[in-house]
Amino acid sequence: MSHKREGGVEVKSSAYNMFVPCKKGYAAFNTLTGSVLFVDAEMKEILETGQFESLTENHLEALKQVGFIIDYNLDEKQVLSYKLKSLIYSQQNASFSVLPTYACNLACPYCYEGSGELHRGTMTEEMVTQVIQGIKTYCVNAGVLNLGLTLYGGEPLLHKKASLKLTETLGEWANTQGINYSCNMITNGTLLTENVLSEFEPYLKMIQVTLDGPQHYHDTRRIMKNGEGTYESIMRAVQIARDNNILVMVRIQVAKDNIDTLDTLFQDLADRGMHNDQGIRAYTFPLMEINEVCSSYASLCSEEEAKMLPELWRKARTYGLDLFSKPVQIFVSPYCSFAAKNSFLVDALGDVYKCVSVVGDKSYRVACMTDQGIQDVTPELYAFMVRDPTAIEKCQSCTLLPLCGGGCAYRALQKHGSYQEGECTLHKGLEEEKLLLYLEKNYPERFG
Amino acid sequence: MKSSIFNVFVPAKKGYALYNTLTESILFCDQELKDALTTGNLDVITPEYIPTLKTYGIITEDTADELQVYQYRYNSRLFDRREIQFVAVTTYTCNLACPYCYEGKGEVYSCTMDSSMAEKIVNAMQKQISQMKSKYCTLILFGGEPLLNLDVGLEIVKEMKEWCTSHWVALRTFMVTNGTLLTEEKASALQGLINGVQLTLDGSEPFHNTTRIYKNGKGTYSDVVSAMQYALDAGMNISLRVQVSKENYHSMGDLFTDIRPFLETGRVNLNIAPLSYYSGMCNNFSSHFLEKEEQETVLPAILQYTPNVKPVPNYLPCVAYSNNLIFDGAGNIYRCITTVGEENRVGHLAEEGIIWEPELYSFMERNPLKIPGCKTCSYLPLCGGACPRTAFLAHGSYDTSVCGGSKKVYSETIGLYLKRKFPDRF
Repeated sequence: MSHKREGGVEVKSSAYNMFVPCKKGYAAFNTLTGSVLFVDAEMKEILETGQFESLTENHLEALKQVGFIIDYNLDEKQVLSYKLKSLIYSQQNASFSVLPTYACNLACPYCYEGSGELHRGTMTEEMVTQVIQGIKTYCVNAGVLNLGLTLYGGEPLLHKKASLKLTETLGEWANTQGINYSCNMITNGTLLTENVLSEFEPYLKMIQVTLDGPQHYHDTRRIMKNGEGTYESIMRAVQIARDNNILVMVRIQVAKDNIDTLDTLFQDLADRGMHNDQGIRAYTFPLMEINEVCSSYASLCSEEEAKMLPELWRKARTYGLDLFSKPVQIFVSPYCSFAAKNSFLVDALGDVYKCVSVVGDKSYRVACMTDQGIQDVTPELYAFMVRDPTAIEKCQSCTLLPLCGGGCAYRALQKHGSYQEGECTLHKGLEEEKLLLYLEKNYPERFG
Repeated sequence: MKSSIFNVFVPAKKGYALYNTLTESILFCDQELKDALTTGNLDVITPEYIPTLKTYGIITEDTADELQVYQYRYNSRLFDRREIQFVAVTTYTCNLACPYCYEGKGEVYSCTMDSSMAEKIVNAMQKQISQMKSKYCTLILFGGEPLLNLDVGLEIVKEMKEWCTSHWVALRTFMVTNGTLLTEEKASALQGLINGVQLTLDGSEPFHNTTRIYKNGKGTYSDVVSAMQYALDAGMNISLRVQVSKENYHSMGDLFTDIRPFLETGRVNLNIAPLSYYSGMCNNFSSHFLEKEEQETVLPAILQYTPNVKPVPNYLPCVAYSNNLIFDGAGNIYRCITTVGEENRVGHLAEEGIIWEPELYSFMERNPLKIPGCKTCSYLPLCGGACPRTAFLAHGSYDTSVCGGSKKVYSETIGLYLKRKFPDRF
């Protein structure tokens, strides 16, 4: 429905308006602009039907400002596509996840990399030098202004020498080039001591560790090769990192059979004061089938079970823990950390990938890292990069598209045979809940 | 393996020269290899050749999709923010009356930029550079005739110069002028402020003087040629646009004989373009524009005068799709220079900064791969779907294209480039 304003341009309702019931009406959320408004039933109907006759010019203008009403000629999918590509193809930010070794000292039964025993390889000294040189060359050629290094594994601290050399050499070089630089580490935490941490100063800004549940459950899954539990050593690592002012991401993995135990974990995190520490951010991630390597693990969540996450978020909130964030547009934070042109995952052999789920599987290799930068690009890179969420048929009329961007590209390929498909898992149903939780937290007077 | 869809063959002394428009590779091949590549019957190719042909992108893996490569490079160019270009249309007024003018000779649009608007535009430019973190900036004064509002133009130039210097941004400045007001004094006053000027000639003197004319009908050839000398003397480089029409193409030889001394300075960059239909205001002159068939014969013939014919895959159709904004005196913002003054601007300046209009997205979201014909064209990396404005005027949508004589022109350009590069092979 359209409406011709007096002397003004024709307008219509945005296709991306969502409504959440609340006290005395509705919270309206526009998924493309991120605006929140509180409206009554009458205004909701006006926005849904596009019958704007009863609105004053001032109201129309105000609603237009925040994107609930738009120019009749505006194609919002074009806006989304344009903004998403602006971010994805930005030259100035680059991030390299580097996997110095596939080796790991843990034996988690669900590991999609095969616990360091399937894919093997550890960076040689020459390869470390080559990767460093390659990253430098790439940054210079692309005109990069912000460089991020994420150490990944396997367990990166099992090849501390390479991890350190990468971190320091790139850090010192970035300084001389006027490039902003920061380093993150994804680690199991078991090898992180005060001494080790100090070696990575001043470049290491964030670590990510993983918990599988409360100690009694965690210590049966995230185990050392000899079966010993790791909960306490991870908690120690978190403490050490925080003492050194390093941010900590805590990934809480949800499995079919640990959901009921997570209360105990939340209690423990709260007892340790983590809910009051702005430098710790916990989030949940359902363990799901990623590839054949992990598919035999019996406790994987099905897509149905993944829908229980919001319940956990609510439960965690009673302990003062926020495990979710405001739904955010894909042109602010894309659907995948490798969606951006200048984001790459480099493994111990110098092979380059665009997805952690396929790392080590050479059929998904997108390029090689040489001292000349990214070379020997394969068709896989282009197939992944030109994914256009706004052209995915299934997503055409979905209000969530600006938030999910078609979902995980790799899962789409795995399930539907092409990157150019939509994958709703972890989005449909969940984005709405995230929104509700966000609204409840920020506008308590309107809810509860 | 399969053949690349971007292979172009040019007959040579023995066999063919093979140019790939996506990879820019050049190879020489015999009839047999050409047949294998064009028919796709690759089994007959000597196995030792395969790795080389693959390296140069003449053949590709079966799983490779070259259109995805094109799309990736197109997007990369479209959103490359390292360089930024601004055009300031400081006035729509003009002292000439060229009959084909897409702006209506300064008689249709009348807005002239004042100092306060110039200030707002300068702020907007600086904000854009900061936001996009661009390192190289090109600033172009445009009109109408920018020398009719030079004070305001130079305010913009001076402020941008100072700001760019203090923000480590490299700035280059240009002026697109008809040249008639570029006296020796004016030119020397621009020294150090304007790095280059674009001047236009409509062919040799007798032809130029029938179309690039003062309001009283008098020709401007000798004034433009003088301006060229003044500009060079004042240290400015020149981009010389030579416009080709039905009337003037026969006499191009005379023109190039006449201006040879200028071309020999090495500081005059030649840009030969057919006069084209760019807006409703060119209508009454459109019978002079080259038809498709004429473009196919005339433009290649004129190529001989162009020193640099190297084909360059830009992936984009034109500068309107690279990082650029055009501001006029009313605070309107455009992407395509031939649309200035018109209603469908891509944005405008408001108190709070730039407000974008739906036109920005419909223009920028044009995708050559969605245009029938472009997807299967060997010249796509060079042409990028051709002029969106021409396409819009012809078909009412940007998602269309008007090829005109371009395929033939590209093929001849490639041919001439190869002949100059490998003279003994032809």
